[in-house]
Amino acid sequence: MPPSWRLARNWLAGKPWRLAMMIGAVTLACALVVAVSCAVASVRQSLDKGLTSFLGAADARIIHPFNGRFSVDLLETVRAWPEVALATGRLGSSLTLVHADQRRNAEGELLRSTPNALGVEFENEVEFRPMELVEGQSPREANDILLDPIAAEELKAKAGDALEVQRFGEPIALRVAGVLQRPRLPAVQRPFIELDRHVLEEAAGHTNELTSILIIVKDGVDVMRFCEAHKGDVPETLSLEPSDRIRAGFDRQADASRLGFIVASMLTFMSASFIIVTAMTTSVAQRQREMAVTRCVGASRGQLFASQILAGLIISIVGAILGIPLGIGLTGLLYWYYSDMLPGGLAIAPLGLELALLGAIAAGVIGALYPAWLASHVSPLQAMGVQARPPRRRSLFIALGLALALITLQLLLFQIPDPSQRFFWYAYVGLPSLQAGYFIVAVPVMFIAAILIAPLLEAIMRLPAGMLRQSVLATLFRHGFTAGALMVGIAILVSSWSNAQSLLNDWLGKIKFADAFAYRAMGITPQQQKIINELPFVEQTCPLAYLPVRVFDRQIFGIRGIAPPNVTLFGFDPDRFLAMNSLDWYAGSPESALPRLRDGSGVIVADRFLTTQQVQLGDKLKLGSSRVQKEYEIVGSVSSAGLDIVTQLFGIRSQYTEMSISAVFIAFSEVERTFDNHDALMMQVNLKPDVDDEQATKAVEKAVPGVSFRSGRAIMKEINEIAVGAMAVNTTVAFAALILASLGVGNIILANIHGRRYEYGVLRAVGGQRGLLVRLILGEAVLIALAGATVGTSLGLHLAAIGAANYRDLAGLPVRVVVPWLPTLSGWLALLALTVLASWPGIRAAIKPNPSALLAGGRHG
Amino acid sequence: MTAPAATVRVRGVKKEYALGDRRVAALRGVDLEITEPGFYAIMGPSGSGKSTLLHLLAALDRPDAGEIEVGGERIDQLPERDLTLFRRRRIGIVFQQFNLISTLSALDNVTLPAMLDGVAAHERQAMGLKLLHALGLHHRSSHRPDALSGGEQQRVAIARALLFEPSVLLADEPTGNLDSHTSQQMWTLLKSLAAERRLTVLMVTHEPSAAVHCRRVFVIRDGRIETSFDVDGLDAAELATRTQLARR
Repeated sequence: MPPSWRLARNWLAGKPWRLAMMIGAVTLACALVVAVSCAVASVRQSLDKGLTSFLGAADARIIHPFNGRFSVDLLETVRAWPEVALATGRLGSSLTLVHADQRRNAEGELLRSTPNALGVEFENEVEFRPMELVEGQSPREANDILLDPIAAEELKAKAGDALEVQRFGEPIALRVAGVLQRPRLPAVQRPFIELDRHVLEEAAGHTNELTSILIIVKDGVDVMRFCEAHKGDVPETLSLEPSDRIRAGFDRQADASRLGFIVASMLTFMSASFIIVTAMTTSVAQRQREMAVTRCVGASRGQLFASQILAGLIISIVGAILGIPLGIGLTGLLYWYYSDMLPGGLAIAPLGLELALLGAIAAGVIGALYPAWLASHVSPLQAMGVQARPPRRRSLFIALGLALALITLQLLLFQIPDPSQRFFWYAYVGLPSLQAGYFIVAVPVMFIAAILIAPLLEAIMRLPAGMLRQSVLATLFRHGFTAGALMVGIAILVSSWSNAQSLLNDWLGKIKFADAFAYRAMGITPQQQKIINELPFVEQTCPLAYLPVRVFDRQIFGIRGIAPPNVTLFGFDPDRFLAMNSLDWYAGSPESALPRLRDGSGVIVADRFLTTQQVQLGDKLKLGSSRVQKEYEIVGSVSSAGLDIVTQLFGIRSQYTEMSISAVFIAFSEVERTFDNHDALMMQVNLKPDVDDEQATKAVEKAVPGVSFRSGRAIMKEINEIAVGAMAVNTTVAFAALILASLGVGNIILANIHGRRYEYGVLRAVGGQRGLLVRLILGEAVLIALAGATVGTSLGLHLAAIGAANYRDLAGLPVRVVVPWLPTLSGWLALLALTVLASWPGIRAAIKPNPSALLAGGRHG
Repeated sequence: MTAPAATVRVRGVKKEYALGDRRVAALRGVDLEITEPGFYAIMGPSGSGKSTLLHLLAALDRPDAGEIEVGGERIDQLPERDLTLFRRRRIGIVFQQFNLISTLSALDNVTLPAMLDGVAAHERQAMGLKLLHALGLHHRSSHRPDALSGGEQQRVAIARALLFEPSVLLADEPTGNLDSHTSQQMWTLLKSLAAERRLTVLMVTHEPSAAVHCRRVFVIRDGRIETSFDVDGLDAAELATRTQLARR
């Protein structure tokens, strides 16, 4: 065994409790990283599950704007694109179905249904959305179909029944595999079936044709850029666009969560490495004489340096071996505790496991670098007997300069123009340098605390004037590094709560829509609108009209040689609509747009209309039909994440598809006045606070038969629960980091006390009571905690600012830096309490021996 | 074993130290020569520079000026790495405070230089046991320092110093932490080692009762060798008078 290994082994064997503490620090760091990664993966899985059931899993789609069909060859082209993970083709049509045995109803009429038919590739379709059935099973054979409840009712069919497609030529035999779970809107929707696409091609006579292609891109692919890059690869008549899910921003939030995980991992392992560096530095200081003797008898600087690095490596590997299984166990515990907030189940993240192992090794080796340097610079003369020397003032300025340089490095890296590059340099260089900078700055902060706060503590704790200050200044670097080791838990707490509070307020809080929605495809008549409005539990309503119109005298969509097609006119009451919904104004403002909307001279358009159709604020649009036309001015452009979600709930996807391209919003009164349309497609309904959603639904559907009613509050509740779940996980991680740091610091305090036994012995020998030692050590612990909390809070706010910028740049989410006062105060108090508690073993070690034992033990190291 | 012609030679050696804001001259031009193996003492009052001189001879520090030759090797200009190897293989050092590694057994303490040199474990063990046996500590080879008496610890330290059969053994107040009886035993041991192994043992001491066991005494005062004389039958009182040192 090489000499350095033996020296490392001897060194580690000498202080088993300290070794256990350092291994414990790495173990807990590994466990935290594994638990965090799996928690983030589980939260994302839950988010995905929830969103997929609302919006589908497709990242992008290719559609014909006017519901036309296109060649299936495009599907193979799309599948060959390198960014595409999965693509599936769909064909929309309609069929007429009868029972194979020509079953009839009680009146003797043939049971027949003409549902909308969606031809899909079942084996791929499940990746795009959950296929939830109320009856039966998923299709297994080519001729298996799924009926929706309306079709099933019309045909009086159930799972297992044999049906036929009525058509010219031989009928096509089909078998009912199951009944789909679908919002039941009997007076609103046409019946609907799903079947194999190839069977539908044959049945409907649309061989090798599709009406849409859904696409899931590979991990890490930016969907917007993907669409932009390939939009020229699809025929001009088709549109390649991000899906509603992407436009709603949830994937950006998931990406932001991944950013959060990487940042959290870096923080956690840096925290472990700080504990290691502080503990090993303390050890080197304590065992300087031993190292000096080893140098006297011929150990080289390189051997001592290598022995410390190897010791760090041993600590990290053992810590990883223990920590990774512990982390998986912690994940299970987290899942068990938060299972109702994580409907998507538990996810194990392989990346987290890899990062835990590599991070542990890095923490051990990096943590050992400074002690290794110290050990290699031990002079053999120090074998002649050296007490702790106060650091020279120059060292303090060097530490401050180095700290500021490291912090400035991160600020400089943040000037990189490209957001992706900026994040890369931040995560892998900027963040570690930032953390190291704040760790080192804890030394000057400790100095300031010793100068400013120590006198106050001396007065409170009845210590002789100057004693606490001198005690801290005598080993300033050790105290400072100990404070630095404490900072990470507070930093995580402050930064995660700052960003989360802002996300909840600024983004999630903006996803605002009505408490409920009433919908009728044939339109809700004015009389029906009045009935709904007058229901006792209804607080406010906003009817929405829907009207396809044409645009005259302008070639829109940039499609050459094609006559202007329809756009979708949505009529709404501007004041009520804005009160009930949260809109992002892409151009214009509510103040300038509202008066023009009220007087019927203005329209607002969807944001994509403005950007893709080469129109701008102030342009005129002539809308109408062959009989009626009127010119309007574009007075604003909006988008709404909330409305994106809501339109999916009612399966009015086709309308939304149109909305994304060609939606124009106009006052309801103008629709009535100019286009003589008085019916509303949908009504947004705000309910009184104490109304039960289920009772409201029954009451509306009873009062207005044929109108479907659905709760919007339930959706928001689910979104909020997921957000709260994520915050709960973050807070757990932060407090776990606090406890981890405190455990490490406790042992470091013990080592500090052990190293100063001689001084304590002198103090006792000249008449100091045990209580004096207790108050002195407690005073040091309080100063360390205050310095650590100060540095941690500063780092936390700095990280929050970086996080806010990353959220904005990479995820497009508006996040501000807010000071989370209550969590910060809680963290300070917890840190103080934990540090004081952690110092008790050290206090006992100092007061238990008699003065001569302290003097004897301290003199010889 | 035949020692080289001049086992220790020091010419015009100077050394200064920083003490707060001022510089203190510990050695102001020391000349010293030892040409034959034997037991020698360097004596002087506190602050005379005797320990500094020993540190330089032990390659623990470098002189600011002058030449130092130990065991036939010029050490004042050796690079750091070679100085380390010199300490490991060419000389032995014994300290007042024993300076054993508390977590190692007596045998492991003795064989520490060999471990640093990469010597195989079985070979190290044989070397160490042989030395411990020679010093009467074979039965204590597995004990840690805190289980040994002061005299035993110092003998372990001597054994460590002799591991690579150096030609020069340097001892800095080796009996400073021992009682008088044990101290006597230690001086006798060092003298016998010098004779049996043809070692040059150079001991720093301020005790005349230690120096009487030596062949020759070098008296250092104010950073210079003031005088040197053969001990040759002098008793402690006479020696003290010669050196003009007060008894402790």
